[in-house]
Amino acid sequence: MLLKFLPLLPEISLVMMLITMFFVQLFRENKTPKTFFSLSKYFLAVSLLSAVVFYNKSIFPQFENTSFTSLMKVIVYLLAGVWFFLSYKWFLNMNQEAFKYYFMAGIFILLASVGISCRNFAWFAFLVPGLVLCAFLMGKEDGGGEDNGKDAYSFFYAGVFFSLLNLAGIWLLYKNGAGLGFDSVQAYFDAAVRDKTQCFWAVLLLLPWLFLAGGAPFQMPMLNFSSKAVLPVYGFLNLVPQIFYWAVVINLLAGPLKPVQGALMPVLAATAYLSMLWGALGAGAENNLQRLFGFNNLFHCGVIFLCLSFFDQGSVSAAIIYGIIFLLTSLGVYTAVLGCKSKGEYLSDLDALRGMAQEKPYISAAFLILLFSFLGNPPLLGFIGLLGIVDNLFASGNFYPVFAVLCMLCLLAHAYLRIIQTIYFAQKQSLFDRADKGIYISLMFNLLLIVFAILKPRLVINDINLILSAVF
Amino acid sequence: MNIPVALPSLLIILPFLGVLFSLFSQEDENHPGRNIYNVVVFTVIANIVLLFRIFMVMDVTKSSLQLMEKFNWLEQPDINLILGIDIFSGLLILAVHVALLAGLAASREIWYRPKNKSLGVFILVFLGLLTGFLLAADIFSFYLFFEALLLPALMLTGMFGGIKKNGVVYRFFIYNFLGALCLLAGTMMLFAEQGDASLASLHKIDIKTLKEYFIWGAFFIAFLSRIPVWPFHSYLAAVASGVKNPLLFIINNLLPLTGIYGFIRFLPKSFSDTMLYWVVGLEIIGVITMAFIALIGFINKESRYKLFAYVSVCYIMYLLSAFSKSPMALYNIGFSFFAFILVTSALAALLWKISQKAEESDVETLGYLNRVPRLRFIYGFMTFAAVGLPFSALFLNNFLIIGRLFKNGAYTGLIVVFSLLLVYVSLLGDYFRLSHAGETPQERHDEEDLQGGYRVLMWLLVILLLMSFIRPLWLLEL
Repeated sequence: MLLKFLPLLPEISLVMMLITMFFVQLFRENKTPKTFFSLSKYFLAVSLLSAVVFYNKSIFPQFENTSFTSLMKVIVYLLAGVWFFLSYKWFLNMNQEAFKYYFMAGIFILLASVGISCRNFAWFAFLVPGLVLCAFLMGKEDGGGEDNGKDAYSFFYAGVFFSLLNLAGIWLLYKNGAGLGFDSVQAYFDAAVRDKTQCFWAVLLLLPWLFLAGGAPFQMPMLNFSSKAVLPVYGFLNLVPQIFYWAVVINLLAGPLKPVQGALMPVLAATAYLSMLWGALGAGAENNLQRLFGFNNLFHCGVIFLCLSFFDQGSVSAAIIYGIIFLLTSLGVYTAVLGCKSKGEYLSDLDALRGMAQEKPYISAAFLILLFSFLGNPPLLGFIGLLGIVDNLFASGNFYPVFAVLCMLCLLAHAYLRIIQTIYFAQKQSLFDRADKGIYISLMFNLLLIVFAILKPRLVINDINLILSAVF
Repeated sequence: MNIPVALPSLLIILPFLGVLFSLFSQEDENHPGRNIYNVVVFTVIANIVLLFRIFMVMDVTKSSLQLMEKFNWLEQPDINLILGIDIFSGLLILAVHVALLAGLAASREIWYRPKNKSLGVFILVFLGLLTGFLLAADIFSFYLFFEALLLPALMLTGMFGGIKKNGVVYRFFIYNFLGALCLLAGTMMLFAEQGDASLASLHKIDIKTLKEYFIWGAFFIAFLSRIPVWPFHSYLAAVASGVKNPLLFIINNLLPLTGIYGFIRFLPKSFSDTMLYWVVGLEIIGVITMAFIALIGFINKESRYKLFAYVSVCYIMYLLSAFSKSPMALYNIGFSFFAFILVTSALAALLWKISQKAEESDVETLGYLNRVPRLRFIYGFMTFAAVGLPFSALFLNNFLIIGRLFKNGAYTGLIVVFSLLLVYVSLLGDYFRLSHAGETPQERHDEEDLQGGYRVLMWLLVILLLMSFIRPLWLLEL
């Protein structure tokens, strides 16, 4: 009987992790950030392994594991594991309590893990507000100052608004007899006469995920909130759940919202173009590193949404590959940002990095390689992502979107060039602290992965194409 | 002949092995920078030796690409990296390596400073990628190396060029990046249209439909962005006049080579009427830019700018010659290019030496060459070779190139000759200014003259240039 629930082992492991953390916080006297990291790494490892082993085993029809959902979960767990490792270093250096961060992050990952596999809108009704609440509690600092509180509450209210939109869409479907399961909703949209009202319901269901993913024009609450949060929270919110949001959008568009794709694609396309433009211009105007990379994320999310707006096997595959490469590169960049310290303080201003290359050549080199990878410069990994997008769009006869992407990439290049100029070409103004060994190790693995993937990209891309066939 | 080792790809890999050596080399406390300098020089020399080995196995009678290699990189889309070498690309690769050696010799004192590892790394990366570009045998490989060159070029110019205005470096990057993105768009559109990225696939495309306009337009803009032709001439001029390091001056003057080489490889054997219309337009823009730059170089008093003007005018002349599509044009351009790169790199190295030594001795550059007879001889030789006297392959081949330009259009030929005359007069004027005896003749100072390895290298360049005039294919007949 218990064996039946083995496919739920990833989620069960995460629940056990949360319970253990809670009891450790309650009863253990000697607890450090490393305590919570150590706990999380073992439970995440179990979740990851069991996600791989039971990759296509499902027990409830409302909760389905496929190769696609398992891949998404594996990526979430891996990113979380690496980021938790880097985060505990931050907490140790800053001598701050880490329980709230790890606990909330654990809940976030659990909700993400459930959300990737769930095929029932009843779960979604709790999922969206749950994610918003988690992010809010994680990022709002107790005594964090007026700025932090104001942005946190702005994000929270925006999140509540979108949660209500989500609820409204679900309730309207249920009230009109569509049911809550993905299959029944899809059948309902298939059978019913499609009018604007139904398209509107579909938009209500999609919008919350565009908001959570940080797509324009909804990105400012999340961007303002996360950029004012501490580095571990900022990195977690911008890195770990991204692929989960994209996976949910893909699941919705491939499943219950498939019959109304035609009405949703313009929404996705509009979000995409706005995100790319806003992201490119915003990044170029920013001096604050967290906001700069926040706008950078916005641009790349826009590219992914643009690809998803065409929604066929090729474009979804290109979008996911681009997304994975983007996340790997972002992880490297955030790791490098964690390595930038002066007089015990983590640097958040671009001008504070002036001449860093003279003292920190390896972190500077990592910035250089990763930023050029973001630009899609060959032979770096980002080039493969860009190539997939361009090839797919040209092959399907969509030329103008490609020109839009390339033009806006030129705009974004201005932001990267400012960073490189500051780090490499400017005169050093301050001394930099020694970075933790873990930063260098993490950067080394990141860059090695990038180099290995460049030499044999088909090992990565072909497998992903096979896995994504499960979506279609 | 069965070659057990993939020689062309080894030409690309060696500089990257040099990068690894550079990264792990230890700094000598007593002689900072020496180890990294030696690694770079040794890598360049090793590559030259390998290139001679390649020349030994090449068939001189074949004009097509030889020693072809193919690497499957991606299956979806189906992208292969194809490399090959012919006489034309072989000569250019050799010229680039020797030019870098000249720059390394001239900039030796700059290297002998602490924390110069990144200079060595970026130089070798640049060399490897430029060699790859010249070995590329399909459009996709071209694009890969074309864009990849951007990173080392930017870092070298920004970090070591000594350019004070950040806007110059910024424009340098954006123009090059824009060109590279155009090439990406053109390559992938062609790939989507034809299904393959071979050089021949582009030749099948005419300029009739909007898509074909886009494809050809993208390729043209991509290559033009590297050549000092309007509207891209200003950023190149700004970089050339701002760069203080002779090695970087040489590297920046090698970038237009990528544009010209691209045109030579990509243009079809004959033009359709529509394409001819655009080619004529490009010729007009080219000759006007040429005359404009020649005039500015003539007026400008700075030696470095005069040299830049000479380089730009010659590059545009080669570009115009590439459009003539005569079967012999490729050979003429190849041999002329070989000598041109050697001469301009030698002149750049020597000019920097002169200004550096004059500054150290606290004397004016006017008449400086009288103090240093060996330097005077070499500088004079290079100047006369540059202006087309029979000391190098420039003499005969430029003559043929100009003749072909006259054949295509008398007005074009006249403006080309006028521009060339202006830059020749500029260079000669500079030489006579440097060797002008003046009222008080300068005493000879042997300690400031060419010494040791630098002297040997310059004499080697002189011999190479003379041999290129007497027996152009002697390299391939070893």
